[in-house]
Amino acid sequence: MVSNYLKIALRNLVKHKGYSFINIFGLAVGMACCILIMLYVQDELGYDRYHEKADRIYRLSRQWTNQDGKISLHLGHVAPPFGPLIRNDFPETVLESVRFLRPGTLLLSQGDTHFQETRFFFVDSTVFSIFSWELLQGDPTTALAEPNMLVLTESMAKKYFGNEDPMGKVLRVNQTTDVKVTGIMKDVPLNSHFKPDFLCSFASFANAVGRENLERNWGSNNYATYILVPERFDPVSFAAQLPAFIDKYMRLGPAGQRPSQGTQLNLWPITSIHLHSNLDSEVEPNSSITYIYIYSAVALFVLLIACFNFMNLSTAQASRRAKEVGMRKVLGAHKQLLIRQFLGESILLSFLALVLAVLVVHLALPWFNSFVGKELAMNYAGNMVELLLLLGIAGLVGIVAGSYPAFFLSAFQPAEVLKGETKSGKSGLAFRSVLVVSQFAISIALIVSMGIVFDQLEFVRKKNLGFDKEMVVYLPASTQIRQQFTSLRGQLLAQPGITDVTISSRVPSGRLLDSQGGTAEVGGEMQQITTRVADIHVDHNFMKTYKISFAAGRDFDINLASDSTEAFLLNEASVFAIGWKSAEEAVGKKFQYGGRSGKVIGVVKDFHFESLHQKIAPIVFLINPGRFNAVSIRVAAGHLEKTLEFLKERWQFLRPNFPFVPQFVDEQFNIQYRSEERLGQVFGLFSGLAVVIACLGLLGLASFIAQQRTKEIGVRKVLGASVASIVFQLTKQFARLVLFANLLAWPLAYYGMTKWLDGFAYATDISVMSFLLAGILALTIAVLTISYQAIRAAMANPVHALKYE
Amino acid sequence: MIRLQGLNKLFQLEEVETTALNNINLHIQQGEFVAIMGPSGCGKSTLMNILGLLDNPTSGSYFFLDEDVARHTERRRANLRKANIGFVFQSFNLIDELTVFENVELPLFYLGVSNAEREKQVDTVLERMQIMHRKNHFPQQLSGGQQQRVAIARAVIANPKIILADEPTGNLDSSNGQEVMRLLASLHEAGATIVMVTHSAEQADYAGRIVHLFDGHVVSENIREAQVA
Repeated sequence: MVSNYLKIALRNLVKHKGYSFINIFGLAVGMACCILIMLYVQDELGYDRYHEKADRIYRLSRQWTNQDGKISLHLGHVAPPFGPLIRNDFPETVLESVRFLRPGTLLLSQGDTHFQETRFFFVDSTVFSIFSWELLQGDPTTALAEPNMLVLTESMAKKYFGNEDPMGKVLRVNQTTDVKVTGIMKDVPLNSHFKPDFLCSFASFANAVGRENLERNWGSNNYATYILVPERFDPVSFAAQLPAFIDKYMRLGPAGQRPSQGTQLNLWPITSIHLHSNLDSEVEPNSSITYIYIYSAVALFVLLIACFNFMNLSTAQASRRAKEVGMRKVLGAHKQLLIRQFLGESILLSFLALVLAVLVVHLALPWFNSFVGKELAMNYAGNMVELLLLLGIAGLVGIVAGSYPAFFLSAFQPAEVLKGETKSGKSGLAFRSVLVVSQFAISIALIVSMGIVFDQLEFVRKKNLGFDKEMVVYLPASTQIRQQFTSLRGQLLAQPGITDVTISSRVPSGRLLDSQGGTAEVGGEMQQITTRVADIHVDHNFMKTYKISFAAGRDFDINLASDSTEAFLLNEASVFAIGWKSAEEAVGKKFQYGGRSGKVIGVVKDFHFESLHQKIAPIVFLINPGRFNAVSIRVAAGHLEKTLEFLKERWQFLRPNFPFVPQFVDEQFNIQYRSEERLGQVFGLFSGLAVVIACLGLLGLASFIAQQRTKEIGVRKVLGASVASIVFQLTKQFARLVLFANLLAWPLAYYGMTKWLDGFAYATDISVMSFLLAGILALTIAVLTISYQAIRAAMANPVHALKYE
Repeated sequence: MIRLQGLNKLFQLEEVETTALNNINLHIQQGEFVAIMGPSGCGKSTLMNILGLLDNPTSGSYFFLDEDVARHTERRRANLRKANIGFVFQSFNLIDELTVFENVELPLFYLGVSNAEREKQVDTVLERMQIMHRKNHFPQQLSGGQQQRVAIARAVIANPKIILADEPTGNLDSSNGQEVMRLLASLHEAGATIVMVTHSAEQADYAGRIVHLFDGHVVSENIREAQVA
């Protein structure tokens, strides 16, 4: 029996190659999308789970609240004393703690080999008892026990030492300190929320800054801190003990508030960080569960569209199988047997599609990997779950796609279909229309979403940020550069093509996380500043170089010595946050901030220092050369290449052995929208695929309907209908469905995209154009697809059509 | 073998009710060859569908092998059908995707006959229908007469108690038609019960009895000696 079914199924496939192709190809593409996204999602969900104690590792985060209870800042890093103290105070609950400090970009040297490294961490020696990072050489218990000990990854060992044994060898850090290699660890797995290349003993750092300083420093929240808890651990009851813990150690606030009123420690299971933690500071940028949902939904939609194609074409072709169904029934087959036969056929088809899909996935994986920045791989043998999941998908798709056709076909009455009058494809037309409408609704919603994502990207790129981000190069500053900056600036300005130079603690882009407390003269008396005001340390030329305009007052003046010690500039956001009514009112008022007292000399207009995800934060600018990190150089148009050559030469002289890595402010700014760009591309890719699959289905359906109406078209032509009127008539039927699909898709896309845009503090207005364009695009593609068939049918000689009947 | 008593069949089409069969009383003995004649739309095909257990009557009774089957469910009818009734259609109704051999063996599938036994029986019947040389061809590769011979082979392979032939020569030219009629006649001679719908008086002559239908009524029954041409 099965062989008979198989034979019939295969012969049908071969006989109707076109339809079979549409069916299998559509399903295969849908499945391939699904598999790719599944691999991606599986990888994303698996972050940090490779640690043996993954379910017992928690990260501490720290948040600050304004007096109105709003969270003003939430960092994934905490102050250095918390790690050791929490272990000390809760010995039963905190079995171990570890701190990671990333000192920024460092120059590492081995003989004449120099590289700048960013994944260098100072870390407590307890690290290997918490994290399962395997040491290939060295003893995990002692490798980081003493100052100036270094564990590095296998690839870094190769990079610096080639094939030599690195153990016991020395690397020089920033041309000052020697550290000894005491361990080699396997490269940290890619699915870690951060991936260190170098782990240097924390003692090296503690000794350098002084242990006592570290123990009392509650303000330097730069230490990613993790704790290990026992098997039985209740995070809620533990978190409830933390306010008292904070109050025990930290000083009371200026007005006598308990410290826990303004700041709080939170716990994050390590496995939740990658997808759920998007705090103001993270060791590395994380992903977001929202994108996992969006991508999964999109993959599912594409698969659904392919399933609908299958249902649609199978039912449309029902008349072809009607005789077979009738005859089988006459010969004694009952309904269940036939349902089984047709379900079997669709499952067979689904498995053929799966084979093709796996092939597509193999071909697409290298490209997909570079697109998502992962090393995903299909791994059947080692992963039964994956294999079963694939087979499950194929089986499920076969059943979902085959169910309606199976019930539809098996319900034919033999007495009717065997009379030679085959059932017209009209039956089930309503259902088929629903399918076409759903397919196009999904496709249109995806196109609209893509349009809005690109609109928003365009918006963020084009938006006037309040400063000029184009043509500004910046380079890291060193102690020497800081000391000689005035003369260096003169030399740089003498170079044609350089129009301005400034030095500052930060350049626009990234997050503004540094802030200190202060007071301001409001209403005639000094009042505590209750909101967080971020600080940026600048020289006299910052506003000029970045072309930031003033709302009131004046810029820092190089000729006024007091400006360097007691002048403050504010942005408009801080003026209103502090409580003044206008920029003018703020100018001349007394101001104290971070231990410096003086006056507000000017207010700059608000500009976007951070990405448009963030609201413009209150900022204070002050001159403080000790904090300068970056030299920004504004270059005149057309002089970029020459200027970079010149800078390279200068920098090699100023910072020998340091690689010359110029960065551009506009590029840094745009990098902040990478995940949105990726989303746009994903929408673009998948909506494209969705439209292609939906159109394939439409093509099949249209050709079928045209074929079915051959006689009608013949009669119409005999009666004098023009080709155009017939084409119109055939096309109208589908065009109406696509138009209706728009009505479904628009609110759906609008709702979804409004939610997405909520993630931006500054978002584009959703324009009607995206909707109209998507609708028109879908309609045009659909009409083109159909009219090909319609024209062919309409051009046929009516004599043949009528004789055929 | 077959007894119809006061059998009616109504079709409800939207607002119009059509009486396809009206108080039919008919008795068919084992071994009979009955021809049913009448103009288009007189209810011949409806009657055949009910006789063939493809449809249920609206009222009245239908005794098939002394069992009242008028109210049987689809599944029970299917089971009776596959063991007892062979069908021959005007348009052959061979499954295009299956070869001659596969078409003919289909009834044995549904009866659960073993592989080897199936092959033996199919070969025998194809031999008998003189179509053995076409065993592995597809229906489209055969002439109309050959296709109908295959259809008859399929109808008789399971040794049914009765063969229902609905205008078996309707799609054939006269010589092919003759051939098919001779084949049916020889099956009848060998003991088969046959009910045949036809338009042709010449072909009705093969039957031992002719039932005339008009507007859903039996208007006359001529019993006559079968003449083999």
